[in-house]
Amino acid sequence: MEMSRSGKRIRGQVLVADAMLASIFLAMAFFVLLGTIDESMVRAGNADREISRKASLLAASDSLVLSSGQPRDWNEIQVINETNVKSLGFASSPSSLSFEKLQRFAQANSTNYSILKSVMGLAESDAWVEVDFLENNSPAYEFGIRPGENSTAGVIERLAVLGKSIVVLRIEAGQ
Amino acid sequence: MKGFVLTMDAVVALGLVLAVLGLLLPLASPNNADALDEIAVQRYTSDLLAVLQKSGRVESALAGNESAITSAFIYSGQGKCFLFTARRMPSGEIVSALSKGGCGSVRANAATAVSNEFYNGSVYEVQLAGWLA
Repeated sequence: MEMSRSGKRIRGQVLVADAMLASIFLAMAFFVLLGTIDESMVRAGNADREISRKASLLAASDSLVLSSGQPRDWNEIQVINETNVKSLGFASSPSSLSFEKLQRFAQANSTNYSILKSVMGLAESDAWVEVDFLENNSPAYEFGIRPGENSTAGVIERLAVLGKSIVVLRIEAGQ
Repeated sequence: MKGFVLTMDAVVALGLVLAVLGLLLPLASPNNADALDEIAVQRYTSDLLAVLQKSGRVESALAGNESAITSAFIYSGQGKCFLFTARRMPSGEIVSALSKGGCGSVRANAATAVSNEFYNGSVYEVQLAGWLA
C-alpha cells in the first residue's frame, strides 16, 4: 500500500516536471516565432518602401527625359502649382532636353521646391535632380535638396542630349 | 520517461518547422526591387543608344571613328557594361562591334536596344546590349 502511494507520487511529480518543461519549450518557441514574424514584417516594410521609391524614381525619370510635361509649355507659366502643371518634362523631343525648361526648373528651385517635387511624384521624400555633361562630369543644372548621407536614398541615372552634348540626368530621393 | 521522450520529440519537430519556415519566408516574397533594377538598366541602355544616334556618334562610328562610341562607354561610369553592334542590312554583315573594356562577354540577362541608322545610302541595324558588371 505504502509502495503504491509512493509510486503514484513519483509518477505525478514526473508528469508535473514534464508539463513544466513542455510549457517552457512552448513559450520559447512562441517567442522565437513572434520574433521571426516581427523581423519579417520589418523586412517586408523596408522592401515595400524601397520598391515604392524605385518605382517613383523610374516614373519621374521617364517623365523628365521622354516627355515635355503637361501642359507642354509649363515653363512659361509664371506661378507653378499642382493645378496648372500636371506633370513635368524637360524634353523637346524624347531624349532631347530643352534649355528653357531646364532653366525654368532650376529657377523655381527656391520658391517651388515642394510643389515641383510633388508634381514629379516624389512628395514624400527629399529630392535632388542634377544634369551633368557626360564627358567632363561638370554640372549644368541642379535642383532640390540632396538626401542626407545616412538616409536610404534611391538614385536613378538617365541619358539625354542637350544641344549637341550628351548629359546625365541623375535623380536622388530619400528621407 | 515516456512523457519526456514525447516532449523532446515535439520540441525537435517544432524546431524543424521553424527552421523550414525561416528558410522559406525569404523565398516566398519575390524581390520586385531587383526587377526594377533590371528595368533601370534597360532604360539606361535605350537612352544610351538614342543619345549615340542623336549626337551623331553612331554615324561617326560607321565612318570609322570608333572612339565616338567607346568614349561614351568609358564616361558611363564603373559597373556598367555595353556591347555595340552595327549590321549592314539586308545582308546582316557585321560592320562594327565595340565593347567597353574589362567587361568580358555579354551576360545572358543583358538588356538590349535596337534601332535603324541610315548612313551613306545604306540601312544599318544598330544594337546595344547593356548589363551590370
